[in-house]
Amino acid sequence: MVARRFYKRWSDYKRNKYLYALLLPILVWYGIFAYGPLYGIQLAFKDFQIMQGIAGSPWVGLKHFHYLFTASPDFLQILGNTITISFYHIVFGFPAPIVLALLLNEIRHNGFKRVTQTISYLPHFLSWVILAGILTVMLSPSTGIVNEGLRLLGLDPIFFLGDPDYFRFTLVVSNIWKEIGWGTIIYLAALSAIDPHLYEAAVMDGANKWRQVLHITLPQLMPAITILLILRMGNVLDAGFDQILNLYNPSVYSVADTIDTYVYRAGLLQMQFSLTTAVGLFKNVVALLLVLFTNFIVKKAGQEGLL
Amino acid sequence: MHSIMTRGERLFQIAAIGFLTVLSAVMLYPFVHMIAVSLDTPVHAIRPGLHLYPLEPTLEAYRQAFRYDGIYYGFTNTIFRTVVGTLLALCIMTMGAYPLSRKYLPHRYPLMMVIVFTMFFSGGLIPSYLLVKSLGLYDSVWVYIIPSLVNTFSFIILRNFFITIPVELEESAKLDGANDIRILYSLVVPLSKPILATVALWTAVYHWNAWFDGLIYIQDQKKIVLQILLRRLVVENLDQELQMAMQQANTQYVVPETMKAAVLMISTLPILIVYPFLQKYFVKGIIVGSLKG
Amino acid sequence: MKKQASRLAMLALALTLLFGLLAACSGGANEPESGADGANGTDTESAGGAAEEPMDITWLSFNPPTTDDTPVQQYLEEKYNIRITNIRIDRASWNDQLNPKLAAQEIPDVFFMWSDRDINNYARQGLLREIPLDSIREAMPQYAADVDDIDPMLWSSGQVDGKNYALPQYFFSGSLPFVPAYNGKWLKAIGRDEAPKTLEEFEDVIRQFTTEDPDGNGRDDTYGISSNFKDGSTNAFNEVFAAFGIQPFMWIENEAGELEYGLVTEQARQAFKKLHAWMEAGWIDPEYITSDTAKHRNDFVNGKYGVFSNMYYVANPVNGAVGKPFTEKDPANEIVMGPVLQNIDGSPGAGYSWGVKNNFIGLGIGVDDAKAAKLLEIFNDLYSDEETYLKTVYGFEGESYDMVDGVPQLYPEYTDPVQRGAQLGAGSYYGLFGSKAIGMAKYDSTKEDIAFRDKYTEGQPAISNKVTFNLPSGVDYPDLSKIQVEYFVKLVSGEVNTGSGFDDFVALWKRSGGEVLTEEANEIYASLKAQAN
Repeated sequence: MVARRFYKRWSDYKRNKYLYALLLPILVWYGIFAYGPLYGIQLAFKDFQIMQGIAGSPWVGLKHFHYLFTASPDFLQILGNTITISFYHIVFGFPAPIVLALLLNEIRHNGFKRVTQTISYLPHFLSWVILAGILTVMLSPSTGIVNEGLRLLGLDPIFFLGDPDYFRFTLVVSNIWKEIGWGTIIYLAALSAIDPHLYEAAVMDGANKWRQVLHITLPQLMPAITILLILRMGNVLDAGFDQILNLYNPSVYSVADTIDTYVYRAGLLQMQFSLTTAVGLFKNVVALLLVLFTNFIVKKAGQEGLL
Repeated sequence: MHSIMTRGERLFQIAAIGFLTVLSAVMLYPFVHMIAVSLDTPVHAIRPGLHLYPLEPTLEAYRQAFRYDGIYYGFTNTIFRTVVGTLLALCIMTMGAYPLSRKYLPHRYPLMMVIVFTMFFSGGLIPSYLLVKSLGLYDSVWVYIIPSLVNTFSFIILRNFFITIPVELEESAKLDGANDIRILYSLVVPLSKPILATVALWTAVYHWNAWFDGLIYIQDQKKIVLQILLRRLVVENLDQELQMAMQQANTQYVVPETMKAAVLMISTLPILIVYPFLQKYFVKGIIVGSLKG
Repeated sequence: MKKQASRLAMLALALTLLFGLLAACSGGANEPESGADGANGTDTESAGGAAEEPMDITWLSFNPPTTDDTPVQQYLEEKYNIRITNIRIDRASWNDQLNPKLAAQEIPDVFFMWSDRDINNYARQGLLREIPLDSIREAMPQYAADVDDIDPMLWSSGQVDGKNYALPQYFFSGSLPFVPAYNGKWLKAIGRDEAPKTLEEFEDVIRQFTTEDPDGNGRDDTYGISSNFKDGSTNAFNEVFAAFGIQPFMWIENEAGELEYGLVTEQARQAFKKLHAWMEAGWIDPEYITSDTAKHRNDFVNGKYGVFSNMYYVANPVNGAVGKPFTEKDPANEIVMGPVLQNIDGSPGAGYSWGVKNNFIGLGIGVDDAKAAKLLEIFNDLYSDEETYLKTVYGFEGESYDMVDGVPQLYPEYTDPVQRGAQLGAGSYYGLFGSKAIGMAKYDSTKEDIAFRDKYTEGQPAISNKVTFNLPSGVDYPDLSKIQVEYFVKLVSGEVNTGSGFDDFVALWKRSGGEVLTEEANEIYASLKAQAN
C-alpha cells in the first residue's frame, strides 16, 4: 500500500519533470532574494546596535510595538485615519477603473478610444512631489480653476487642501484622477479575452447593452476583479503615504495623519531601523489576515482565489 | 464592421464621448502644464493661473537639461534596465507561473504559499543591503535587474490568467506528443498576449520609474538612472538645514522651474510611447480567433 | 534520467532554502570593515623618510564630485599623501541613503553631520570616535581661538554624555536676523516712502496692502502677508513675532535666566491675538498653510501679498532667490528692506536668526590615532591655510575663478555649488569650512556683498535658539512638534481663542512632553553655562 502510493508520487514527479524544471529559476530567486533577507524581521523585536550586527543586538520584546501604540496619545486617531482613508480609497478607487474600462470598451470609434486610453494613464507617471505643486495651484481657493468653476456656479470657494472636512475627499478624488487610467489596463486586457460570440448569441436572444454588460461582461471579468481585490487588501494599512506626505499640512493632521506619516515624523528624531521593521511587521500581519479572509470569501463564492 | 445603432445607442455614444473628452482634458492638464512651463522663460513659468501654452517660447530649459551632469548616462542606464529587466522578468515569471497554474501539479498549493508569503513578510532594507553586497551586485548595473526580477503581484496575475486557458487545448497538444515546455511556448504564450503585454508594461514602467535601488546600491555616477537625476533636481530641498549649510551668499543658486520641467519631460516622454505600441495586443477577440481557427 | 530530473527538482528547492539560510547566517554576523572600499584599519607607519603607503580615508560630505579624479581631490591626495574614497549621498535623501551603509558598518572617516541630533544618534550607536577638546585646541589653534571668540557655548553642541564627538562649525551670517522685505511699488502706492519701523506702522501697511489695491488692477486680490508654513513653519510670521520679543519655535532666556519655549509664553499669546485679528480682517493669505517655500516666493513675485521676511541675501536683486525673479518680472520695481520691527514696549525687537551654530564634522569609529592626527592636520589647513582654503572651496585660479579685488569671482558654469562640486570637487565637499572660517571671510564676499549686507542688517537686533544642544527626551514625544504646528494654525484662525483656549493649549503642551523638555533644557543649559565660566 505504501509502496503503491510512493510509486504513484514518484511517477507524478516524473510526469511533471518539465514543469518542475520551469519552476526552478523562480524558486531559486525567491530563495535568495525573498527568504535570504528574512532574518531581518527579528529587528522588530530587538534594539539594533550597529556595531554588534543584527545577530548581536539585544532582544527587547514588544518594546517597539509598545512605542508605536503609546508614544502618541493620538494613536487611535491615527489608526482610524489610516483605516478610513484606505477604506475610501478601496470603495471608490477600486471600482473606478472597472467602470472606465467598461465605458471605453463600449466606444465604437477605435481612434478615439485609443487616444483616450493613452491620455487617461498619463497622470500615473507624475510623482506626487510634482502633482502636489500643480494641485495646490489648481485647488487654490483664491486663484485655482476649480474654485473659479464653483464661483461661476454661484457656490462658495472651498479650501480643498486646507479644510479638514474636504481633505479626505480631495485625497480620494485626486488619487482616482491619477490612477484610474493606469488601472484600466489590466481590465482592458481581460475584456479583450472575452469571446465575441457570447455577445452575438446574447444579441440574438434580444439582450440590450445593459443586460449584456450585466450577464456577460461582468461575469467574464470576475476572475480578474476578484484576484485584484484580494491583492488590494494586502495594502489596506497603506493609505497612500507619498500622496499624503506631499499634500498634507497642519490644518488637516487630525484627519490625514496616518501610521506611515506618524512613523516618518518619529523617524526624523532618531535612527529608525527597529521601529520601521516593527511597524512594517504589524502592517503586514494585518494585511495577511485580511487577504486570507478575502480569499476565503472569494473561494466560497466559487471564484479562483489567491491560493 | 459597425452594425446600425439604435437611437438609444447613438445617444449613449454621444454622452460617453462627451464625458470621456472632459475626462481626457482633466487628465491631460498636468502634462500640458509641464510642457508649457518647460518651454517658457523662468519669469513666466512662475506666474499664477493655468499654463496652457508658453508665453515666451524658448528651448533654453531643454538646453540646460541636456547639459545637466549625467543625463546621458541616465538615459543609457535607464533604457538598459527597462529593456533587459523587462525581458528577463517576463521569461522567469512566465516560466514559473505556468506550472503553478496546472491543477494537477503535486505540491502546487504549498509552493504557491511559499511565494505568496513573501508578499507580506520581508526582512527590510539592511539584510537586503548586506545580501546585495555579498553577491557582488553592489555598484553594478545588474543590481537594477536581478534583485527585482520577480514581482509577486504580476506573478500572481499571470498565474491566474494561465489557469483560464482551457485544459482541452493542453490535452490535445499532449496527445500530439508535445511536452510541457513546448506547450508553454507554442500554445500558452501566443494565447496570453494581452496579459503578457500587461505584465510587460507594468514591469517596464516599474523599471523606468525606479530610483530607490539606485540610490542605495549605486555609487558610480556613470551608472545612475534618470529618475535619480530628476529627484535630485526636484526634491531639491529648500529646507532650513540646507540653506544654513550652504549659506554662501555670494553664490546662491536656485534651479529654475523651467529646467526642472524640462528634465521631467525628457525623463517621462519615452516611456509613454511604449503603451501605444502594446495596444495592438489588447484588441478584442484575439484569443478566440486563434482558438476557433 | 527521469528519476534524476525529479530528484533534482526537490534537491534544488531544498538547496535554495538552505542557501537562503546560509545567507542569513553570514549576514547576521559581524562584518568588520576591510579592504578596498576605504579601509579604516591599520595603516603602515614607517620611520620618517621612507616612502609611506598613502593613508586611506573615506570622506563624507555634501555636493560630492561625480568622479574620483577631480583636480581638488588630486591636490589633496598629493599634498597629504592620502587616498580618498568618496561617499556620495544626495542631500534630498540623506538618511535613506546613509543609514543602510551605517547599518552595514561602513562608517566614513571624515563624517559630516547636519545637527547635534545626528551626533547624539550616531554617538549612542558607537559610530563616532571621541575627539577630546584638548586635541582640537592643539591641532587647530586658530579654529579653537575663533570658536572661543564667537561663542564658547558651541563647544558643548558636539558633546554627548560629557564626551566630545565633533568639531562644531559656525557661520557668521547666522547671527544676522531675518529682515522684512516689502514690495517697493506697493509701499509707494499706499503713500509711504520708507519701510515701517513699529508694529503699529506695520499693521497699517498690511491693512493698506490688502484694502487699497496697491497693484492698481482694480481687483480685490491682494493680501498683506503670507508664509511658507508647509515646509518653513519654524520662521512663520517671524517679522511679527519679533515685535513681541520672541520667536515661537525657539527657546529663549527670560528675565529670570530660565529657558522658555517661545510658543507658550505670554508674549506669544499677545502675538497670536494680533495675528488672529489680522486673519479675521482678511489681511493674511489663508493659503499660507498650504504654501511651501517655492510657492511662497512665487506668490510674492507675482504680487499676491506684499511682505516677506528672510535672510538679507534672498532679496538681492542680482542673485537673490526672490530678488532675481522679482526684478526680472518688473525691472521698475524693487524690494525695499526694512528694519526688524521694534518691540511693542519700545525696546529692540527680536529678529529671527539661525544662530551661529552650523554643522559638524566628526570622525568615524574606525579612525585610529595616526589617522586622527592626520585628519586634524588637514582640517586645520582647510580652516586656516589660505592656499588650501581657496583651492578646496573655489578651485584653481584661472581655471574656475579669477581674483577680482582680492575676492574670487567664479566662472558662470561653477556658480552653482552642486555643479562646482560635481565637476571640480571644489566647494562644501572638501572645503569643509567654506564660508565658515572667519579668517577667510575676506574671500567669501565682495565689497558690494558686504555693503549690501551691512546696509540692511547692521545693528539689527536678533535672537536665536538658546538650545544649541540635543534634548535626549525628545525621542519620547514624537507628537510634540505636530501639536505645536496644529495649534499655531488654530490660534491664528481663531478655532482656539487666545484666552482660555491658549491656556488649555499650554497645558496640553506641557503634558505632551513640553514640561519634561523644559526641565531638561534648563538643566543642561545651566551646567553648560557653569562649564563655560
